[in-house]
Amino acid sequence: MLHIPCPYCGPRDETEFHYGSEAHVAYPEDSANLTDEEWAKFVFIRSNPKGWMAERWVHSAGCRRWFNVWRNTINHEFGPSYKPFTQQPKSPA
Amino acid sequence: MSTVTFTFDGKQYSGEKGESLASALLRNGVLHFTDSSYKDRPRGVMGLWVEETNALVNVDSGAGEPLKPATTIEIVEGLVVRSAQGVGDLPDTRDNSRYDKANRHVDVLVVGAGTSGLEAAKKFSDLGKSVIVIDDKPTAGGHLVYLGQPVPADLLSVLDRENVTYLPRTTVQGLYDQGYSVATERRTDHLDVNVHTEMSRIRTWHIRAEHTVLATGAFQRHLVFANNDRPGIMLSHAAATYVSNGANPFKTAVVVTVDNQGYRDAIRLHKAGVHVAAVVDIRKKVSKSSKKSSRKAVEKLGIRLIKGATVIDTQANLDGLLSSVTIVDAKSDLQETIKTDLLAVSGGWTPIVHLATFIGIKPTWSVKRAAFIVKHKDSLTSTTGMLAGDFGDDDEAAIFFGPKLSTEQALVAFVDYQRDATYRDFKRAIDAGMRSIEHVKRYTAIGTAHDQGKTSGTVTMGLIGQAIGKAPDEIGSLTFRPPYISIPFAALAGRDRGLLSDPERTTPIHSWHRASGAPMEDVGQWKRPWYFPMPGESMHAAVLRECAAVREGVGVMDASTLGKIDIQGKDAGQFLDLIYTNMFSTLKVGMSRYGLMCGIDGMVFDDGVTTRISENHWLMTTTTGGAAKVLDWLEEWLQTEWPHLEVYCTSVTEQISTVAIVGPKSRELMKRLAPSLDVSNEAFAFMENKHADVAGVPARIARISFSGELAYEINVPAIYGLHIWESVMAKGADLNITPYGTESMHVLRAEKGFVIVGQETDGTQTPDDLDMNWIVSKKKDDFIGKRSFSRADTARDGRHQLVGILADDGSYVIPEGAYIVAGADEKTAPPVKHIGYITSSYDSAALGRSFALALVANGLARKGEKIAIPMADRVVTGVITDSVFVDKENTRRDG
Amino acid sequence: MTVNLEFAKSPLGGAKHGGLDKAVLIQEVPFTPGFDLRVNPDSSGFAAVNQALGLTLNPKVGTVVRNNAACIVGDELPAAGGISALCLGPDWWYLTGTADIQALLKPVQEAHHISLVDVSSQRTKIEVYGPNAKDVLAHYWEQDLRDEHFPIDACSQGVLAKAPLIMWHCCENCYLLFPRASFANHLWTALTDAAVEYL
Repeated sequence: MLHIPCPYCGPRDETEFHYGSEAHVAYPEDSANLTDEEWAKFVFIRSNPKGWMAERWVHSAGCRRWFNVWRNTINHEFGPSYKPFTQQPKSPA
Repeated sequence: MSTVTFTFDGKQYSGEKGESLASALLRNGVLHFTDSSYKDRPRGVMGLWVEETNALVNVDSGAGEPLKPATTIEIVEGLVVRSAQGVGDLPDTRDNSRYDKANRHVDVLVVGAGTSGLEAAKKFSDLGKSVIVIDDKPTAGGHLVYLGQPVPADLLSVLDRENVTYLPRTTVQGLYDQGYSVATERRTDHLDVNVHTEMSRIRTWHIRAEHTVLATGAFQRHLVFANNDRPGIMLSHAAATYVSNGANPFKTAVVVTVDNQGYRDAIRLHKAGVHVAAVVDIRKKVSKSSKKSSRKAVEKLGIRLIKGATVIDTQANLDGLLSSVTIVDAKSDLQETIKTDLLAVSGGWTPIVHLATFIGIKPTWSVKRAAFIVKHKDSLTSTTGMLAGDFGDDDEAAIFFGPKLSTEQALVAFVDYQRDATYRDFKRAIDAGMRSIEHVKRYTAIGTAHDQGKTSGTVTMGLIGQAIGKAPDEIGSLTFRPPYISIPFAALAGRDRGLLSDPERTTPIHSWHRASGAPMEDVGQWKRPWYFPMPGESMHAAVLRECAAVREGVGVMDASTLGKIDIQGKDAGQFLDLIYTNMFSTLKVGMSRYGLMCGIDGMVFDDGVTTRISENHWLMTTTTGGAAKVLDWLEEWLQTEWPHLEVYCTSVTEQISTVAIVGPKSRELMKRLAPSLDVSNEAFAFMENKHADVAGVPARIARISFSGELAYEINVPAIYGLHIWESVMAKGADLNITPYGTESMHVLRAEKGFVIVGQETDGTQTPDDLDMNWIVSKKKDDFIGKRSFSRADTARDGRHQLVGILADDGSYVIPEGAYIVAGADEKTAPPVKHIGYITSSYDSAALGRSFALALVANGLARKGEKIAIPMADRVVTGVITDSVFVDKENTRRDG
Repeated sequence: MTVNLEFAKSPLGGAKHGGLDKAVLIQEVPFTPGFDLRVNPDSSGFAAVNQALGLTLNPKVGTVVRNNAACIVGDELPAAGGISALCLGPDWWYLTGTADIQALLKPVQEAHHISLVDVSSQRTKIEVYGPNAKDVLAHYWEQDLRDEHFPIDACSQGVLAKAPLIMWHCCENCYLLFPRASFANHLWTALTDAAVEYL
């Protein structure tokens, strides 16, 4: 069971969270002008790296906040978590 | 110590309360415990603890448990066990013992209460840290207990400290990421054989530690030689311990060793009165200190020392018990046979690396110690004691796993006793080209039995190394998986069984539903009344009656489970325009509107009615199952994309209880319930909301209909939900008010062609696919999902679209999920291509026949086409129709 | 909100298990109003809320500030007029107490971007009290209950026996649970079951 560092509540059990996929994939402001390919890239394509990845979680059973956190996809190690629209900390790699 | 009696294989024995079953049986002279699983070879106890490979028993007394090592069972009065020939069997009776779980947070978890573990506990306790010390044995002290030596008082007293918790008889079964571990505590088996229903038999601890110290110690391992499995052959540490404690069925002993432990055990055996015929050491030469501490000490006692030799074969008497051993000189191959009834084997130490490998730490091979050790220290985990390579006086062992064997000898030289896997099996794997431990393991089944290779793992790696001329760490690495020892499933389940296995969510009116005898339907975790049968009435009849009452009189439904979200802020209208496909910002205060929301992929995600309570205050309803998901969704967009919008969302699902009165006579009933309210169609229009006292309670009444009929939804604070329901039943009695459940609700809405998200949809339907293009705004610049509607795949021809299906035989209700084939006359024997499937299907009181909704490729353009539905016993023919069956002109909603 | 007791029914009907003199007492606490307040602590509305409530809200998640005498212990109700503010999120408080919170905040609502939602019926309140209260809760509650990590007047949202709830460590050996009403029966079954070994 992962212990996920919520930036508001501190480390909490994984069961309190929902996963929100890769962080920093912003909703395109001019979606109407995007080609099908560009739009499909936004909707479906994620980087899925091996190693450190910035991803989104929501503390559903707690403070209900969405936040970003670095996680190592190889060994589940967590790096720093940070609030949306704040400076992204450097990758722990 | 008190004496207790126990039964083994139907025969009564006595032993000392608390000693292990293995010890007690040896004390009673039982050497032949069982026969091996596959080859029926007589076997005796080998080890001291969970590393035991032979002496497994099925426990029949108390809770009962299959396949337990006799070495780990503390005997109690009335214990009944049977030897298990490698196969366990569960007791026939239900185990009524209590099992539970508990959570624990601690600064430091120390696994192992041997001297190293106790030293670590002392160190952290001294620093003011809270410490839990867990050990799977009944007493602390580790090897010192076995050696009969006192545990230093200053270490033992650490366990009594305020900031130290000691859990004996507790096994850390798994160590996971971030200092999380799971341990099982055996709490009652050592007390008596009773079934404990109040105190839990096994407690599963879920522990979060900031730091975990692994002080797990080591097992002794065996050597691979011919007939190395006879009763009378034991690990030397185990033999010396049993014998020293008075469980001594032996007269003579030969000790075969690769390290100094064999010498110490020879001395212990000698002191306990066993004649030690010889100590056979594969090492020709040893260090000065070993010479002094081990060899000189043994020779001083007059024990014969044979250097540079080992055991290659053994012989048995008529009972199958060990009678003599054959010794071979490693250099000259000269052999000698010595009579003995005990062969004590010291094949070196195998540190217990399991927990470390669970979290991905790789053991390293120590040549000096001939062992895989784990020297590790980081902020989360550290190792100490034998696990970390601190072997004390045994810091000098030969890398030796067994002598060179002939083909015949290899057939009876066991690598894994439980699997009856021999050196011959092993050799076959090597000859077939297997090199990695993982391959050899799977080829031979070595290490896959009950003990999961606790003793055979390192032996196998060593043998591979010997066979192909490589060091053991070049073969691969030992990887184990939780649990460390077998656990009853009941212990893992704990209290999560029966009613407690999953929450049952209930509405404030639930007690009434239950009392009425309504069967319940599970909707997510909610329990909702399915239908309300009259005495003796079938479900089919009840649903037809309920539906007819709604279409002709008045029905009442508990709609309290609908998800509800309070939305406030000046930008709420703009926000809802982005969330829903249709327009909300233009909605007038006091009005409600049905809305559909999609994901960014354009697929329908949830639906519901949203009401504008005041200028900046809205109330959204969601599907019963979608409440949590939708709130997360709203928060996601507000927090991560549009934080500039002034909007707050608050779940009020359980604040509001909703009672819907539905049917042509609902207006009359509403008037009676709220005399102050003008319920005329002119004063209170469809989709309008009014506030009024209902049965003495302030309520919001909404003219919303999920059946097409005139309907009023009465919303009150949930504490009044039951009161409103009872008032409705009382005031509507003479109108023949009819409570109805989820089944009738489904029928009524399907007759109107209203979809249920999750029934007509599976995450691959756009609003267009549901024939709901009318709800997709053409005016709005953007909303979630809009761009995806023009994607090639979403806009393509041939998508599944919502239609109605009428079977030619109106008395037949097509099963939901049934596949549809084009054309009534087409071949319906396989292979046929299906064009869609049934999503909802019911018998209808209003139609006087059955009907169905379906998703059919290009369905909207195929209305009137004949279809067939091949079932197992018949082919059903029918026709594609419009999805609205009742009141196509919406004339009934106003009464 | 005023409660019409003639018509109101609490989810557990005031159930009681164990006792004040026992290892643990588990009981449903009589109805007290509760509100979800949302306000940005960096906004002008925040100061206005504090002023109206006569209380300085702490925007640190998991803290409780209150101006009433004490929590509910045994059969004693909190002092009249009090408000306890449990911080559940960086802009989210659960306000409970007998003060007329709705009336106090009405003017603030009209002038500022805040949200106040009556959730009095949404949650019931279960008190778990006694020397073994912590042990009973630890059977199901994954979070750290050690006093140094969850001291008196700390609160937290989490999951207990798979039911989401708010937990408030309100005084020594006393924990108030605020589960959603629909989970009340389930939670009652779980808590009384967990207490078996201690009673």
